[in-house]
Amino acid sequence: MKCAKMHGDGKHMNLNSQNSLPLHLKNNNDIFFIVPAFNEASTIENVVRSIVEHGFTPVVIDDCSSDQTADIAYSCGAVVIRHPINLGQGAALQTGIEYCLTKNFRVLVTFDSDGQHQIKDAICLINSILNDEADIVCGSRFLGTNAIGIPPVRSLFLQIAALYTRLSTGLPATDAHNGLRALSKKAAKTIRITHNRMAHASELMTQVKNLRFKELPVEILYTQHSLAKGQKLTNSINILIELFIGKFTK
Amino acid sequence: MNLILILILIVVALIGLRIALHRNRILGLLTFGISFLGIYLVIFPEYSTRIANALGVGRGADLLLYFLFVISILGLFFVYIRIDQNNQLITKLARSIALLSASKKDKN
Repeated sequence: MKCAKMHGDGKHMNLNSQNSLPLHLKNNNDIFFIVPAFNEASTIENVVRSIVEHGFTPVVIDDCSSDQTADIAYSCGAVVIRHPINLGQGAALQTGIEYCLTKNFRVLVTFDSDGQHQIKDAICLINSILNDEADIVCGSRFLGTNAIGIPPVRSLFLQIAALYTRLSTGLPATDAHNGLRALSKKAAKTIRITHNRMAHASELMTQVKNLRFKELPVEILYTQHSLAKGQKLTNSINILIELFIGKFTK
Repeated sequence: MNLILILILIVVALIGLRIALHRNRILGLLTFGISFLGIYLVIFPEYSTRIANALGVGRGADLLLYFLFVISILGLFFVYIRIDQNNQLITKLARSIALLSASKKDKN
């Protein structure tokens, strides 16, 4: 399956100067993209190719997929780390961070494998880290532009989750459960995700205390695929229970 | 007092003893104490009734049932925590295996 054109191609043509990387950057391969993937064979190719095309290094953490995710990612030029058993997205992110800490990197980006994030947004986040504006820059779908095709109920739940994060951490977060983030070296060393499943997003926010935090608007493409793979709303109860139990074990 | 009751009490005492030898000292002693209190209250039901009345519960047997409920929930909670700790160990193990295979691929 040859896929020369990325779905986001049209968008990249419109890159304005503010979105492109600073000129002094000749080599971007020390900017690592951590892409946790579980059964994403249909979307991983476009995601990895778009990362490679911009000269970044994709690190795909295959969370023991039963499909061809790992092979496709590998053939597209990604570093592939395969979990021997399924551990969850949080665990995959932590594996990616630990792998990158053994390498020499400037910026870490966490990027979803279902194609809902866009490289142009990631570049804004990276620039913010490179300009030393913050240690951790999170994407927010609720800043500025509206999320495209977001179901109203999901929007409501995400805003409640963000409110919870604001109250529990005191951070001015508007979107706590966005998979698109950029971390500086300092942030990558500080953050340690122990919640394997979905509570990791909230956990990560609690560890941001001593880091400089920033949010930038990003666009999330809601497709049938990403909606089907995404969080089920009933999961928010599980997240709260996980966080509560975690208080006694972590 | 019949034979079955004595057998049950012996089993409870053994389980209490077993947990008392647990590496967590406080938890062990607590379980030890609670199980012997339970045995005492079964052998002398009039005491449990008296305590129950003082707490506003009708019968001693009811009081024991409520205690059983609370202790079961507590036990479940501790088991839950233990499972979570085990999961973290498994995660660490799986992660180190994953990272080992990644570094092998790097060298190739």
